[in-house]
Amino acid sequence: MNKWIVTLGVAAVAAALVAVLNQKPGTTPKVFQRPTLDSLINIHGSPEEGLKLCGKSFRRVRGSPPYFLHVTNTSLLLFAYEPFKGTRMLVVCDTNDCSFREIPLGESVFGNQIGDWSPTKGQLGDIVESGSSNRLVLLSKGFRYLERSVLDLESETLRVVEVQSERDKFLLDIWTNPAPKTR
Amino acid sequence: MRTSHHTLLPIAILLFIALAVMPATAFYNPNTGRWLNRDPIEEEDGPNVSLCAHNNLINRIDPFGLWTTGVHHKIIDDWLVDPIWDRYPWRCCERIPVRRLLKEGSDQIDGVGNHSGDFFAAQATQNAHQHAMRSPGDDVSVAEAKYRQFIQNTLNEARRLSDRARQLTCTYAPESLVYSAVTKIGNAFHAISDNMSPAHSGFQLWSGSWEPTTVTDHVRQENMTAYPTYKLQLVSTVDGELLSYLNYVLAIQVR
Repeated sequence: MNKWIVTLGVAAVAAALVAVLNQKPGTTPKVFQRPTLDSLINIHGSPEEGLKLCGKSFRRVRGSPPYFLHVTNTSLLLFAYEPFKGTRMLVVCDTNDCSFREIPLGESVFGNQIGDWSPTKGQLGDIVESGSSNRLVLLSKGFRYLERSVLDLESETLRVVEVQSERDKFLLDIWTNPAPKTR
Repeated sequence: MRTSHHTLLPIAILLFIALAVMPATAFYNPNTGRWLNRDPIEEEDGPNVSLCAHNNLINRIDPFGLWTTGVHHKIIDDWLVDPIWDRYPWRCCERIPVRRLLKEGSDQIDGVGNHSGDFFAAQATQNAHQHAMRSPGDDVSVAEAKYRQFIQNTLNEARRLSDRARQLTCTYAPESLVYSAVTKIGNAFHAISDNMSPAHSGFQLWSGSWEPTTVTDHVRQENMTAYPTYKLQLVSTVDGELLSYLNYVLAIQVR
C-alpha cells in the first residue's frame, strides 16, 4: 500500500515537473515587483519593478505601468530597462518568435516616460510615432522637452534626430564669466 | 494515520512546486487597464479587491500616504527631462548633477537611501510639516504655516549658499556650495510634491503611529500606478514653484 502511494506521488511530481518545463513562455508582458533593501527596511522605499516576457525577466523597467508599448500592426513590443545602474537599454521583442533585440539608449531620453501618454492625454509621454518593418520613429514628449529618434531595427541602432529644449546647451562660462571676487 | 501522511506528501510537494514557479506579484492587464491579482488585504477595504482607494484617489484619503521614493525620483526625472540636468555646466569646469542632488535632497526629508539611518527622525511627528502633514496639537493653519516656512527657509538657504559660491574663486571649490544649494531645493521639492499627493490634501494628521494596519494601508497606496494621472499637474506645479530658484542657484552670474 505504502509503496503504491509513494510511486503515485513520485509520478504526480514528475508529471507536474514535465508540465511546468513544457509550458510555453507567455507572450503577454507581466509586471512583477522585487523588494529592495530599501523597501524591506523602510516603508517609503520602493520595490523594483520588472517585466517578465517570453520567459525572460527584465528588472528595473523604466516608465510607468504597464511599462511597455505595442507597435501598431506588428508583433513588436518595446520597453526600456536598466540592466545596470545608469545604463539604459531599449528592448524590442517580437512576440511571434519571442526574439529580443537590445539597443543601448545612450543620450536618448526615450523609455523614461513609457506608459505616461494615455494618462496625460498625450501631453507627456513616450510613443512610437510611426514605423515600417525595419524603422520606427520614436517620440518622447517631456516637460519643456521634446525628442524624436529613429530606431533602425536592421542595424539595431537608435539615432536622435530632433531635440527641442528650453535649456541652452552651450552655456559655457569660459567667456561669459568674469573672475569672481576673491575671499 | 501513516497512510494519510504519505498521501499528503505528494500534495505538499506539488504545492511547493506550484508556489516556486509562480511568478512574483502584481500582474497588470494592459487591455483592461486592471491589475489581475487581488488586493493583498482582501475584503478588509471593501468588496472589490481590484480597486485602489475605491478608484477615487482624490477624495478617498490614505491616512498618511506619501509618494514612494521611486515616485519622488520619477517626478524629478519627468520635470527636468533634458539630459543637461545630469551635468549642468557651471564655473570652474564643474558639471552639476542637478537631478541626482535634487533626489538626494528629497531622500533626506524622507530618511531613505543614503539617509536611512535618519528614518525615524525624518518621520517624527514634529517634522510632519516637511511632508505637508500636521502633527498632533497643530491645526491645519498652523501646519500650513510651518510647511510654507520650511519651504521658504530651505529656498532662502539655497540662495544664500549659491550667492556665496559665486563670490569664491575656483581655488576654494565653490561648487560644493552649489551642490548643497541644489540639495536644499530637493528638500523643498519633497515637501511640495508630498503636498500634491492625492493622499495628503488638507494637511492631515500624522500621529506617528506605526501600527501594522496603518502601515499596510500606507504601503498598499504608495505605488507608481497612481502617479501618471497626476503627473502633469505635479510636474507643472513643481516647475512653477522651483524652476526660478534652480535657475538662480545655478546661474553663473546673477543679473
